[in-house]
Amino acid sequence: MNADLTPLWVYLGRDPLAWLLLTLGAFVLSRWLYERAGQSALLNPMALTVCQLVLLLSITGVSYDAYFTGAQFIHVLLGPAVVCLALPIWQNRRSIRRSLPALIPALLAGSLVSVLSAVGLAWALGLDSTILLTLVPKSVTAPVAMGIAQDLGGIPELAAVLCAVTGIFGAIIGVPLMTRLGIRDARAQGLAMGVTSHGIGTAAAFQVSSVMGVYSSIGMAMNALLTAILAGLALLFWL
Amino acid sequence: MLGALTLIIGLQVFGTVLAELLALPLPGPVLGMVLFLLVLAVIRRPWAELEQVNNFFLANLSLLFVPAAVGIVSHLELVSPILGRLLLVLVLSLLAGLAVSALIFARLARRFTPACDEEMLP
Repeated sequence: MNADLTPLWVYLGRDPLAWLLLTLGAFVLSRWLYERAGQSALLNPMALTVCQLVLLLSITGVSYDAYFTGAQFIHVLLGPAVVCLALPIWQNRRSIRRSLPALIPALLAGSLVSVLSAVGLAWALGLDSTILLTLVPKSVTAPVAMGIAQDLGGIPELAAVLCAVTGIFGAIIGVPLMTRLGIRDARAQGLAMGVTSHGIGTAAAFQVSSVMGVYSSIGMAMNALLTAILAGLALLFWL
Repeated sequence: MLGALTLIIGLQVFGTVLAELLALPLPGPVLGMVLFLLVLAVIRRPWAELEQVNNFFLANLSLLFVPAAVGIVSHLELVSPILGRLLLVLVLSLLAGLAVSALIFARLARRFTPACDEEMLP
């Protein structure tokens, strides 16, 4: 780094507002790129923003804790935003009630396949048992996933990372994959996004359509509940 | 504005307290969402401001996950020795989960609850 700029950098690096500004700036830039590229799923704005910030922190050696002093002002709004998922669910209650015969089997199958395929594959690849247990909640929204990993004897922090990676991948490949499979029903795509890619997938689903976002919200909430119950049963009977 | 914000944050805090008291395996915000559904079932129609504030949160949802996801940066060392295998597991399992739940939903929906126009993608 240019020597003349170092004092300025040190000064700004200490100010939480600098990290808040960088997070917002990186997101605005990413969203602009996403719009410019015709909303290509490969340029998912959230994934792009995270990449920029991880790169920046790695290069400058600034700790995550220092970054979080500024970023926490955004992070704190995540809770209220989850509460807000109730309104579109309420507004679409008739559609949801009508689609229960498809929704419930899809939810159960998606939830089981997510858990069993991850644990089975990891076992086949020779990963150790702590990692297997940490993989169980990888499709669950991070705060619930950390609790589940802890109860099962996995690593909660790693669980949060696996969730974030799963969610980002889901946000990028989810819609193109399902469209390629010939699925045009926004409800089916939405539920699958929520069940597999939780909140990050839900955010991406809302960018496509409000119906998809609604079904993704339901998938996320129900999958969190279901995986927590399945993990509880597993603990009771097998572990 | 502030009334709507107070209600939303209040429901989250109430949800957190309730989850703690009842020892439920759910985070406060998710329970807060359930409580918000109950509130909506009572008031039936959200007032205009509540809808505006609500839409603001949902329109910017993906930004709100950024600070938590950047947390990956502090676990790079733990993950890097098994990175290849972990990514393979995550991607394959994700593909399986997406395909299974979307195909099952679409098949059953075609038979039992056909999608109306606004539920179809262009």
